[in-house]
Amino acid sequence: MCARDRIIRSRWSVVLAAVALAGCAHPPSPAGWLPGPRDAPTDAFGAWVRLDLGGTKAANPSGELLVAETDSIWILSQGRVNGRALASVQRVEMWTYAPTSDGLVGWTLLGVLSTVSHGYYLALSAPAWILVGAVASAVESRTGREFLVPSDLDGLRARARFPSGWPPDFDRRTIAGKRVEVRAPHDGRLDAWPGGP
Amino acid sequence: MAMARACTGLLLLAGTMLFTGCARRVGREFVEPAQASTLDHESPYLKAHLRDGELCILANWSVDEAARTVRGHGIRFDAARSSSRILDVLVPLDSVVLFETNVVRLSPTITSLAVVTGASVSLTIYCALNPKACFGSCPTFYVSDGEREVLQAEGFSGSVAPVLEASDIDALYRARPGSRRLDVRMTNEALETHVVRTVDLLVAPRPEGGRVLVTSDGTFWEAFEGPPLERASASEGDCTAQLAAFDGVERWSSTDSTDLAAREAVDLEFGPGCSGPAGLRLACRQTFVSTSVFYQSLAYLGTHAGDWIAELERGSTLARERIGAMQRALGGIEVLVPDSTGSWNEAARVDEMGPIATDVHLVLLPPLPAGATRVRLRLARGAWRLDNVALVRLGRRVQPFDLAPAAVHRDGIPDADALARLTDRTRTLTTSPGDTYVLTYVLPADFERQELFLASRGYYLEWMRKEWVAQEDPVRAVAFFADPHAALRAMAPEFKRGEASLETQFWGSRYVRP
Repeated sequence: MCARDRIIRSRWSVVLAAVALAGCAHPPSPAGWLPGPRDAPTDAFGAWVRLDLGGTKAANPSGELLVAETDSIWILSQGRVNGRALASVQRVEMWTYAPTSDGLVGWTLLGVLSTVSHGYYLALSAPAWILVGAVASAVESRTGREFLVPSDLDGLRARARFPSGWPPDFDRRTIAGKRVEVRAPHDGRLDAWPGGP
Repeated sequence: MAMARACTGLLLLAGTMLFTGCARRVGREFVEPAQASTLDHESPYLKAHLRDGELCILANWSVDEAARTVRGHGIRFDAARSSSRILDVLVPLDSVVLFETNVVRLSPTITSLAVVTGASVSLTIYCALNPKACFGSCPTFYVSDGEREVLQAEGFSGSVAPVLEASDIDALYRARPGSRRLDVRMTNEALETHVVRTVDLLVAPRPEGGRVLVTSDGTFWEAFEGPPLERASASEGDCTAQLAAFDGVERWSSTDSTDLAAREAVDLEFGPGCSGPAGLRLACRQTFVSTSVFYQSLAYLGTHAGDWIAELERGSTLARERIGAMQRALGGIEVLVPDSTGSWNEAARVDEMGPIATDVHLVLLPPLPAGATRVRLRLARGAWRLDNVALVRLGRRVQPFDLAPAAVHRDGIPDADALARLTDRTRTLTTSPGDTYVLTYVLPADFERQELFLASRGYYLEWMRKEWVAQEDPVRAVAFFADPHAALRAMAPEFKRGEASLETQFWGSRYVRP
């Protein structure tokens, strides 16, 4: 009875932790595309952006930020260069590196599980873990993200692959994106990102 | 199992170190070539975005302002981001459109988790070292005081085995029902199995200007305020302020470092003017000592605790005597009054067990001499918390009537089975840790003029903790029960060392307060 109840309590704690940690932000880029904090200083590509055109999140185009100009913004999406009038963009969600909140989530879950050793103090320590862990993870998950308005042209340019605009005589059809190994969402087989993002 | 808990703590620490390495942030700065002198040299890499779309990422980089160049070891990427490894790169500032530096630091959010981790590991270690501080209490009952729900009673605290099943009457002294419907919330907040046979209300008409109090042997008396407490003194000095009112401000002392059964005296002096039958109203509860001693005995019994319970169940008088001997060694609160020669004689004794809820008792006093009334309380040092002591004039003896619950709810849903069990005296309701039942009683129409008492009957089974089994020591168990006085002396130094923190941790671990 004791062990069973403790297990039930532990399961509830994990469920609560999972619910609490659901507040984390997730980048819209393919898994593995964004560098982690350690690799960000040597990453040669532009930030991953999602252009808020006023529609649903899913309908908003996203991809690597290539160029930001006074009247347009260019991204590399699904292997194709995609240009949008800056006037049609309400806001730019920008990810420059993948957050490390997964580590904090793991840390929190480990902490929550460890409270089974606290006896009745679990009633205090488990919620404390969940609360602090949820807040810390949620905050951490947003660290690689910025929201810019289209008028912040300097901010957009700085995080583009080409801050000074399109290189002279550059054939946009030859541009290649970062190649990352991603897991196909449906059939589960490993495959390369088709033609780069 | 202490080792297992210590391992849990170490695992958490190891995980912390592992995950701490992952929690990092990037501090990114962009600098135009004209301000190259302001570049952050903390950044191990320098990104130089060139006007032709190429990118140089340099390590060991330096800026030569005179030559207007940046030099370093690194990689040069073309616009399509094909890389070519170059050992030395010299980049003219004029070819650069933007510099970028990145400094990776530990995320400040891990500070909060580090604090929780530290506290959590400390708690794990604390629980490993002091397992008997990590538990709850006996059956607890909550009743509204008119403003909020208050812990007002704990049931049959001394009934630790089926054969010790007993009735317990607790005064709901602070209950203030707002209507004829009275809800009593019964909870199991301990690692115990509670077997509850009945939980009834005893209702007695309250006299005008007085209250109804109950003695330890279950007789009910009308009681009226007597002369005030003029002076109370104990070893620490004057304690009148703590004892003069039933206000939650308690008088208590710490244990003797050589003997947990060492006695102390609290001398009380009441003003003159109490003629006729009188009694002492005593609001008190136990400290952590008796509970700790009990759990220590279970720890010594270890895997043989079940044998001991079985021995009790088989009707062993020896086992019963052993339990009684330990209870007598710690003792209750002896109420003494002086005789004509000035010698102190015991008038009565309060033995109500339980450290959670403060109960109000009536002690009948022998005929008092004219003038001031002196009373002495003798009790084990550090074993009791006294909230209020008052002299009362006794009125008539009264006979309360019994009210069984009219409804029982569990998690807001009517529980007919629980109601049937609590109203059929041949059956019992068994509760487990975390269980909560709300028992509803229908009071008489003049409910505001009724004194309420909670009469509970049952027993409970303590769950053996793995940490206790680790302390199994048959020799000390035998010595514990064979010579309780010696056992209390032996336990005293260790208890004393952790006394302050045990109390703090015990109450701090609970989410309710008396």
